[in-house]
Amino acid sequence: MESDESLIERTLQGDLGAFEHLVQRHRGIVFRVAARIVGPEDAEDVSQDAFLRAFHRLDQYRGSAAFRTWLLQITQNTALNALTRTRRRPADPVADAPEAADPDPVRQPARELERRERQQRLELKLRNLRPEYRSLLVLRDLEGLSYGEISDVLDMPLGSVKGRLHRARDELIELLRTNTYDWELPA
Amino acid sequence: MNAGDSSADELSPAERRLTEYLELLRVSPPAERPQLVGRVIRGVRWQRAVREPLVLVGAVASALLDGVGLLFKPPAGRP
Repeated sequence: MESDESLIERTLQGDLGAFEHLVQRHRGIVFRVAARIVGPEDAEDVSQDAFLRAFHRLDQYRGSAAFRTWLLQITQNTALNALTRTRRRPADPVADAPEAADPDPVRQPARELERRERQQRLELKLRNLRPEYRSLLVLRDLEGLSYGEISDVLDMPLGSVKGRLHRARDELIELLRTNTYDWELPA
Repeated sequence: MNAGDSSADELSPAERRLTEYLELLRVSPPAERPQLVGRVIRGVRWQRAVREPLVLVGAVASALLDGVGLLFKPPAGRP
């Protein structure tokens, strides 16, 4: 498999096909991070914007960190800018909860329905966290990035990453404890 | 999570509970539509096409302004 660095080199020489490979390779994580920060309805626009910004700044990529880290830094900044622009109200669990996909109890087993509803409630709680905490939880607890990589993405000292992650988890636990009965249920 | 960091993660019971709970989200991540790649590449092509003419127009406008500035600049030595 061709390395990111080689694809970047070819892109800088004008080969758009090489950039397309880069987008194909990283679109999953870029979209997931964007969706967890701004919500699924705006995630595609944010992902597109992040890739376009990356393309125009590709000559500034120095290779001191992995390309994925650099791209996630752009994604995270683009997502936070989008949140600031739209100044979204906090997610309302009642109004924002998507319809269950198939309410027919025969076709949709109750357990699966319940799992999906719990998942939706959890997503809404996550979106009620302040954006900087949300980013930390998404990068560490959902995407499994190392502390070092998160430190690069968020441009934050390693110690601050750990401390803020701890506070972010505490805040989410508090939200879950006070506002849903899910916390008491088995995982 | 990153294996290299696991020893650094001293989780409290509540944090462990949260990690189990977040598994609900990890197992079914939001999936992008296949059109995303096409949208990005179309955007790149379009922006690349308009960028160079815009840069050129900007450079011409800047040169014109410099020229006009020189025309109206008082000669050296005159107050």
